[in-house]
Amino acid sequence: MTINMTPIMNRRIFLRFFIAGGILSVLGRRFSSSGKKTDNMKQALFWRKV
Amino acid sequence: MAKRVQCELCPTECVLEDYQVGGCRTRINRGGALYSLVYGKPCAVAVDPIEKKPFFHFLPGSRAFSIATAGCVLSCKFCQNWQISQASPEETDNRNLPPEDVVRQAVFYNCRSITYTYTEPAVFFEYMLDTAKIAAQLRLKNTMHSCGYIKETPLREISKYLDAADIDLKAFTEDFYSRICGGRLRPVLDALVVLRERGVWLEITNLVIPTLNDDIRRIKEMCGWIVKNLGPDVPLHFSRFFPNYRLKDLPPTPLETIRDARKTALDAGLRYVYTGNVPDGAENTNCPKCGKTLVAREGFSIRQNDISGGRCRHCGTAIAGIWT
Repeated sequence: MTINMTPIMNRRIFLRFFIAGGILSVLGRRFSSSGKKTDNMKQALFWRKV
Repeated sequence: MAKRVQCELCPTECVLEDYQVGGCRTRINRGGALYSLVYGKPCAVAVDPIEKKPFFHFLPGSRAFSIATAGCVLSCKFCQNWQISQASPEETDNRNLPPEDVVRQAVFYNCRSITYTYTEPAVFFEYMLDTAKIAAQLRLKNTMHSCGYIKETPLREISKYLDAADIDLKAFTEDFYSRICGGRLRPVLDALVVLRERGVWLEITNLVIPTLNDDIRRIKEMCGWIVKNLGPDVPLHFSRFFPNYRLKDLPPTPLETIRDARKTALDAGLRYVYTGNVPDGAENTNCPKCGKTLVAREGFSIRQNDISGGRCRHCGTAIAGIWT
């Protein structure tokens, strides 16, 4: 199947991938950094879940 | 799934959402669990004379290895260590000093005790607890200088390892604690009673601030409460205020006010009442029976010590304290 791509469609596709990549990158840093930081922190005493 | 937690260390009982830091600036909720941000990271480390804490009836002339992290459970407008107590740990210059290294350095510097002080030791509770356990194993004493704003359960836990505590009883009204400190008086009084019950050697410090807590009637009530609930042998230190932090518009405490406070305390039945930050202040320990000077102090130095076996060398009266 042949898809005729106009220049503006190319830019839109590029932008979508660019933004999606940026979002995934931020999420990845957040999850990986939260794991690293709590590894270096001492869990506190005297607290409870609410 | 909700990740909210509630801290149960101090009476403020902060409820924290994920990633939120408590009011003390030293505890954070991460993924539904509470963590300390200051464990093993003191911003103040020093060797001080024990008299500086001030402890006048505990190992006189000895050295105290003193540590503190950033943060505090209160926000006193007159705080003399506000640069670190009212700061976050990200804002202070911190060292990496695990509990075992605290004890190692205390031994190296020939200190007989470790004092958790300068800011508020409750905010580095886990660090204080782990250090105190190691210190106790090596027969090093553990002392703290605290505002006493801590809940009963953690206080009872740390009391297992505490040998002495100097508590700031800042005033004797809830209004003062609310307006000037951002806290409450009642939890501090409760903490004093718990410490007394636990057998921790107790000394009390009161900073007398003109126009805010210098009403002699309130001071008299405070002293009466101390005598009734803690006993007449608890040393009370009245300290002179100097303009600082958010109270730079007030004058220093008049010397007459400090002297009146001391006289009021002695008239109320307290046996050991001292004045600090005062030239030619009442810094000597006198025998409550024969009146002779037993411990003569000049600044933080001991010039004379006539207490033998915990008793007055002249008349044999037992002098309350931990002298050896």
